[in-house]
Amino acid sequence: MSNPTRIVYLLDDEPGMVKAVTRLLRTQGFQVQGFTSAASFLETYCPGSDSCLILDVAMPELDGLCLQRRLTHNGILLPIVFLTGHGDIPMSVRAMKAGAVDFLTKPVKDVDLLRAVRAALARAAEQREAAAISARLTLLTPREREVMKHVIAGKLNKQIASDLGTGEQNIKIHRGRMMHKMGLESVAELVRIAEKLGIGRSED
Amino acid sequence: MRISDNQSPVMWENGSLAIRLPHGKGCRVARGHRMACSLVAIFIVLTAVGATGSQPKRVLIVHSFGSVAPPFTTHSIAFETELVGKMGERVDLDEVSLDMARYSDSTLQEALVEYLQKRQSHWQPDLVVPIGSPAGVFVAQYRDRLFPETPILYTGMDRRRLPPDALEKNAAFVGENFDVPGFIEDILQIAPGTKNIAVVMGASPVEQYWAAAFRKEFEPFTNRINFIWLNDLSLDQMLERTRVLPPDSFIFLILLLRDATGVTHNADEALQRIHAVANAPINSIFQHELGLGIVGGRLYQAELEGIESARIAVRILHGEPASSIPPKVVGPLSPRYDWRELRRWKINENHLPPGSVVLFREPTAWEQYKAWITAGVSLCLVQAVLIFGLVANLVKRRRAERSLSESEERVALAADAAQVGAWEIDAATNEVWVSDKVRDLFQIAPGTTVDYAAFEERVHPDDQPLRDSAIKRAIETRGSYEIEYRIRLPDGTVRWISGRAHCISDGNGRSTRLLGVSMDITERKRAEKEAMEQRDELFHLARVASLGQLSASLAHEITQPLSIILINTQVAQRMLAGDTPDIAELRDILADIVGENIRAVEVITRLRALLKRGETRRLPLALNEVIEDVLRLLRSDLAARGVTVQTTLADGLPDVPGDVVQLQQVLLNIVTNACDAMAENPQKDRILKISTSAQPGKVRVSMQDQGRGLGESDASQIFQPFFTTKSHGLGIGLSISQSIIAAHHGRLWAEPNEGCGVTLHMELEAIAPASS
Repeated sequence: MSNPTRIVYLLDDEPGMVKAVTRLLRTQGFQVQGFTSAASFLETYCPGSDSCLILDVAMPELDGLCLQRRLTHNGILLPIVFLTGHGDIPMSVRAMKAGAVDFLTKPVKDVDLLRAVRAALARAAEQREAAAISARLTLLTPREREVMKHVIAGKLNKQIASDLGTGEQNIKIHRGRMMHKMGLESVAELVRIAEKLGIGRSED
Repeated sequence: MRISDNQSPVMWENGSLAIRLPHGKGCRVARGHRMACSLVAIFIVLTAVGATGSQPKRVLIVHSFGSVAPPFTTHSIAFETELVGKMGERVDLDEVSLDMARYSDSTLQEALVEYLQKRQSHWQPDLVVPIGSPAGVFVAQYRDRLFPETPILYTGMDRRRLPPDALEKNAAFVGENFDVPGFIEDILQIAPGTKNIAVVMGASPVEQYWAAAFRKEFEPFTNRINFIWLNDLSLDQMLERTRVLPPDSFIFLILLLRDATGVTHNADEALQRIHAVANAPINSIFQHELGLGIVGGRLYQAELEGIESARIAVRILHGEPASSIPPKVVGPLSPRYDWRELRRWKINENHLPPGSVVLFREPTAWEQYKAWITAGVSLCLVQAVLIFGLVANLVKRRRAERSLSESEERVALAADAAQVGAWEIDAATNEVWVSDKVRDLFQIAPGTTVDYAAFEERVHPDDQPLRDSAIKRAIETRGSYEIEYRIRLPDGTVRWISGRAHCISDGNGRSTRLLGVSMDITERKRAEKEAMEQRDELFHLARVASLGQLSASLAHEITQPLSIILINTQVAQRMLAGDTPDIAELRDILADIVGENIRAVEVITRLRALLKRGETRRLPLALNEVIEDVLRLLRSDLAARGVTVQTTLADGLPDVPGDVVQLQQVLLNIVTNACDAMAENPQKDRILKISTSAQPGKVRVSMQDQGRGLGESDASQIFQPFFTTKSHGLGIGLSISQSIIAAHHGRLWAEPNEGCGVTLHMELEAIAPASS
């Protein structure tokens, strides 16, 4: 896996907060970009890196939750850590449901914030990985997809051949092509990814 | 009673003759002629300029019997006084006395002639005036030797006594011509039953002459009157005789210069002594004796003779030839009588000749005290009238007083009920009048005098300047004032007084008074204060309620800096845990921490002020700053509600007087209301525009929202208590806001916008900017 740049975006209308959090993250080796308005953030942000966003909920013009919705709407999967002065439970539930990594209340402890940031970045990495797998999946032929499902299900080649009504040799070829297209070397890896992407379960 | 003969400088005073005796030479002037004398002196000075060295006219008076020998003395005094007074220029008077009563020896006369001749080598007279027949006879006899060229004025004598040719040579005459039978007739006129007349007379040569003359003249009466001649007696013997005269006697005193025993007498004194003892009435010849004891009749006046002779002397001295002046005989005066003597001798006034004058009338009680009685009666009358008037007036006044006192009572009742005291100050004299109520109010003891200072010292020191300036202005402008001030009573209690006064002036500034009333308004003030406190409490409760609604945002306002502080602190800790901490960064962090800390404290302070229950305090405020303060406080709330505030604050606005907390409360209310109104708007339409502007004498704040607007409701309705369109809140926010602005003498009103929403305007009186 490649190791793309990891950027922590920070949006808070309070400059003091932006400054302090930036300071904290930089000491921990994160690359940080701070903004005090949503507009300036949206101008600067470009997807394609393992990034996350620390977002203040209460902001004039465009509040945090609205921004989250807008990003999702635009297909930007940016893990968000909400940081709020006066969050309440309904607000946090809404945020979490919309895919927020965490919902932290000020004043926040550095460790909590750092853990949330790390989690967000991990999520970003996973999302990038998942996206890559999804892209590979599209390369598979229907036969190769079927074979993959059976492999994930833990069936042997002979069982798969029998289920699909073809020869064992054919199954071996499809299986080999499938593993190649997916960039995988072991069945174990395939199973882990399949679990992560939820492949197979929904189709059960 | 005092009688003065106009023709005479001799005055009757209290019934006795006051005679001014000559003393010394020169300008001997009776009091009445002093002015004339002064004029003479002035005249002399004036004429002296043109006639330098002119000598005063020299007049030699030759007395017969010495200087004190009535009636001659009377004559000479009148003469000298009149002469000096009428002369018009300086007169040098000299006198010489023959003293003929005493000395009648011819050898002495010769010596006297020699003496006078020697005198004349030093002092040559311009006129010689012998007074009395002895002097006249002497001068006539020795004239050729003594005064051959000098004019002579014979006077004070009977023409019969002079030598026949005496008046032919440069001489004039002023004298009497005694009507001797007349004297007897006068006596018989008043006392017709007179049988004896005792004749009192001296024994000097002149008296002897007259005795013979009179004896001769009396002869026609001797058949009916027995003349008792006392001229050969001493005065004492005369007194003895006159004491025991037979009934129907009269005493006739002719002259008494020297009695038979050679003792010289003052005739007037002798008369008085005789009068004291005599048992019969007395008569005499000369007017000056009236009052000394004679009854009276046709009397001869020596003064008149003196005055007449002086007038002729003036003419002679002015150059008129003495011979050209006809001899002048001065007759007797009209009959005059002494009332006392008439009464004493029971002489009926009906017997007095027609045209008689009765002098020395001792008036009856009525006559004597006529003036007093008249005055007394008049006074009584006047008093009676006055008393009647006063009584009438009193009755009227009583009536008026009754009605006045009734109205006063009513006024007093009203004043008492209203706790009103009246007072008056005279600005010029500082005199103060106060009603009893004022004394009550100011606790000034009854009976003590009240002045301005007594008032002044009661006034609370804080309120003195206010009161002083009000009074001063009222006096200066002749206007009035109405003030409320505190007084401090001796026991330390403080009371509120409402003072109203009006300055009254009489127009020309002479009198300026301040009329006023004072009223105790402590109770009203207490009620006002209570109402104020209740209102403040209401404001406070409303404020606390609004802040309660904002508690989350407000908490955020505090947690925000605290969060920043926490993060920064932890960063610093991490850095310090490392091997090579970045000192510059640490310094930066600490500065940020301090900054955020201050910010947190400010927020708390602001909040505490808003939450505090305090009494209203008016201070000059910059409205822009108040707005910015409120927006800072509401920042989190505005952010949380997604409301954007656009401010357009005018520069250079004047301050407004206000209570900062209450005005913040109003702004906070309006802003949160606007936020509520825009809650359902999309966030981009949640814009609150706040602007400030200067209006004439005022400062205006306008807050324009884009909310639901007023809907069906009236623009004024939103200020009604409990009016609300919101699901939360009591609806008292705007009502209270309006009360607060009203208490600031300002105005708060709503105006629908053109599009959507409402604009609330708040206007406050501006403090006039200090002129530079």
